[in-house]
Parts: sequence; C-alpha cells; structure tokens
Amino acid sequence: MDKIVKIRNLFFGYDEKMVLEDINLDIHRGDYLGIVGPNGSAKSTLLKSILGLLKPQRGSIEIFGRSIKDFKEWGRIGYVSQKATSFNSSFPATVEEVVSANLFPKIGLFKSIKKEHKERVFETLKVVGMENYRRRLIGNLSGGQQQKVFIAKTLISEPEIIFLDEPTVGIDVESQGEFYDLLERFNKDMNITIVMVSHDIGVITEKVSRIACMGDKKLLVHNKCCRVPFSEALTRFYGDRMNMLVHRH
Amino acid sequence: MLEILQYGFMQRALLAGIIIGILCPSIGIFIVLRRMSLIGDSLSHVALAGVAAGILAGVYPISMSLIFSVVAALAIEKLRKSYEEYAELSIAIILSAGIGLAVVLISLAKSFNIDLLGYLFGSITTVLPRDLWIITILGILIIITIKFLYKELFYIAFDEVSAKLAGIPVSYINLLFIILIASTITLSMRIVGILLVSSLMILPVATSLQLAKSFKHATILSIVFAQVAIISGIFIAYYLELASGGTIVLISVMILLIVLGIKRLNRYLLRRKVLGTS
Repeated sequence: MDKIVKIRNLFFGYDEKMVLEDINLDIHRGDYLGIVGPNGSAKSTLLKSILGLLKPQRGSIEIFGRSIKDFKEWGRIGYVSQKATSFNSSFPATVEEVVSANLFPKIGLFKSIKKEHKERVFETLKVVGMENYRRRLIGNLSGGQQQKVFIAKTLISEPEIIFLDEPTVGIDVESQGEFYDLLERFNKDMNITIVMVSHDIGVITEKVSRIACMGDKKLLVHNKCCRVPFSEALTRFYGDRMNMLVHRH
Repeated sequence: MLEILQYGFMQRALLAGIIIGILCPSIGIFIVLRRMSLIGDSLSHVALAGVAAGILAGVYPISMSLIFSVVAALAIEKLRKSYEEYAELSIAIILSAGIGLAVVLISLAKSFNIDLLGYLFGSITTVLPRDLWIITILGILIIITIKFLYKELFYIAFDEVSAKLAGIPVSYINLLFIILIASTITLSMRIVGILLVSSLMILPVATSLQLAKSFKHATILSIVFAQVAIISGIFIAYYLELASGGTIVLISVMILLIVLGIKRLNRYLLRRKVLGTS
C-alpha cells in the first residue's frame, strides 16, 4: 500500500530531556489512524514533528516521499489544532474569511480573492453544514460549530491527509458525534487519510482503522485496533486501575 | 474657515495627515490582533534616538530615524525567535535600549534642541516640503505593500502556525511586516509625535473592534476613525493653538469612549425591552 508518511528511528527531546525515543511509524493512504496515550506522553510532539514544526534530534521523517525538511507541497496536508489554544475568539473575522484563508497559497501572493473562490468557500461550508453561518463572526459560534468551520478551512485546500490534534477538547458530546461522523465520511467517501491525536480512547477505538499508542517515550502498539491485545498495552500506559467503557446504541 | 487651507504648511499637514491616517490603522489592525500593541512604543523610542543622532550629526533626522527603527525592528524579530515563549520580552528589550540610547544622544547634544520637541510631540507647522515628499512616496509604497499582502497578513494574525502549514512564507512576511511598522512610525512622527504615534496605530483599531462585523469591516472602520481624528485634530490644533499629536490622540480616545457609550446604551435599552415584554 502507498505509504504517505514514513518515520524512522525518531528521537526528540526538549532541553536534554528525551520525550520520544526510537519511534517508527508508517501511515498509508486511506488510513484512519488514532494516536492515543496519557497526558504528557508526547502525542502532540510527535504530530508537530511529523509536520515539521519541531526539529527532531535524530531520525528521519518522510512525507509523500520527501524529507519533511525539504517538503514544500503544503496544500496536500491539512491540520486542525486544538480549538481552545489555536485562536483568539474575539478575532473579528467571519466564517467565510476564515475558511478562505487556506485558499491563499493557491491564489498566490499579491492577488485578491475572486468570485470563484467565494463560491468554493460556500460549497465547502455546505459539506460541513455551515453554509448559513458564513457571514457570522467566528467568535460568536459554539465550540462545535467553530471546529466544523476549521475542518472546512482544512478541506478547502483539498488535502490528501488531515492531521488533527485533540480536535474535540471543550466540545459538547453531541457535536463531538457529528464531528466524528464528518471525519468518517471524509475518510471513506473522499479517501482522505486521517491522523488524529486524542486522549479519548473510547471514541478512538470505535472509529479508527489503525491505532498507535504512545507512552513511556515510545510508540508501542501500532496496528489494526481490533487485532491488538489492546487492554494489555493500555494497562501498561495508563496503570491497572483503568477501565475502558465502550457504549454502543 | 477654509482660508487656512491657503497656507502651504496647512496643506502639507493635511495631506501628510490623510496618508498617515490610512497607514497607521492599516498596520495597527495586524499589530493589535497579533497582540503586539507595545511594538509601536518600542520602535518609536528607537526612532527618537535616530532623530537625536540625526540632529547631532547634522543629517536629515527622518532618514536617520528610519535607519534606526528598521534596524531595531529586525532586532525585535530576531529576539522574538530567541524568546519564543515570551514574545513581548523582545519588544521590552528594544524599548529599553532605544530610550537609553536616545537619552545618551540627547545629553551629548548638551541642550534640548527645539527641533527635538517637534518630533516628540508632533507639530503641524513644521511639516516641510521635504517631509511631505518622503511621507507621500514611502507612505504610498507601504499602503500598496499592505494591500498586496493583506490576505497573508490576515492569516498570520489569525493563526500563525496554520498559516505556516498552509504554505504561506510566514518568516519572510513577518520580516517585511516589521519593517513596514518601523517605516510607518518614522513617517508618522512629524504629525503625531514620537510619543503618540503608537496610539494612532492602536486607538482607531480598538474602536473598530467594538463594531466590526468582519475583518474587512474592521479595517475600513479603523481607517475612517483615524481620518476623522486626524483631520479634525489638525483643524482644532491650529485654531486653539494646541499640539497636533495630543489633540489627534485625544479625539481618538473620545471616539472610542463615544462608541463604548453607545454600545452600552444599546445593551441597556435592549435589556429593558426584553424585560418589558416578558
């Protein structure tokens, strides 16, 4: 299968203290990969390293067959960060303005937004069901609605892979469900590869097709989630007082 | 009333004021939204050192302060990378360095030059034809650059990390942006004065944020508020023989207070209406 991301012998540390040791990971086209682990297990650090936002001390990261150091085709990658930390909620921007931002690299420097771009924004907002909110200020929407807008912003550049860093933190349960359904649709119908960092093990095991479990500086389990003796690994990372509840309707 | 427009210095002051009234809020909106509000103060103190150095060396003070503030702007950007977690620290470091240098240079000049006072507090009567030329040419150049980079600057202000990941050349644009800030400050000091230039970048934006329905709307409103303050400020300063910079800034504060007051009143009326009908 087509390998989109290839990580080999990755080491990363903040000021002498290693947080990632000898990480190896392959992400294939069409994967829906969940990266789980307890707080402080460097899940987000791994994601930031893959995206080139942090520079590892050792090891290699390839994305679409190119080292992340020389990677330039950013339009092929989408990124949705944790809602709460990524933006200033009193920023005076409309939903339309926010979503069109990811078209800017395609439009190019020194050029302005045209009618066709606005139509594309409308169509993309329709995919996430937010087209009627396009003239609303982003700060006036609920957490769930904002996150849908951010996913539309990611989607508009037609990425082949989307990385999400704890995308449902601070969002109510109902909106979380809708959000996960959207991701599933992108993965199944549009064949977009999805990599999601989350501490919500219950949801992750329900939704994803592959799982990577982080802890103790290592990435331990990395396989189809239903085939893995999962509870054993979870106990190792989270401790033996942990219970996993899966609730089905 | 319009007979004062016959005076050459008044025409120059107004023209320079109108250009600065577009420049300052257009740059200011990105400064405010990136939470860099103090950068204006910091760079203007360095600009003061530049003016003092210019007067001391007998060089045109505006060119000298342009060089000083651009170098300081580059230093801020460099320091910002060294103190990633304390971005405002780089601004504070340059502010201290700027004021220190300015004080030493002024003391070297032995007496407090009257010219320096004009730069400090802004004086419409001292806008020379040479000043107007540099304000017009550089001002138009900066306005065109902002217009062309408007959408990228918007994205970086909204979310710098996402902008980088979307493929926007964030470092280059940041560098250019900080040079634009330094140039705007140097150009504006003739009208509003070094001590008040940063207020002209911040106040109209602060007012517009109270009313804005979109980013574009916020930009347009802040330019409108700046123009109202500058044009009326220049006239009032002339007739009442006040310092132009202070007058312009006080009018900006008044506009902000009026907008805040109207908003409060609206909220109060709405609440009464809701309570009255229930």
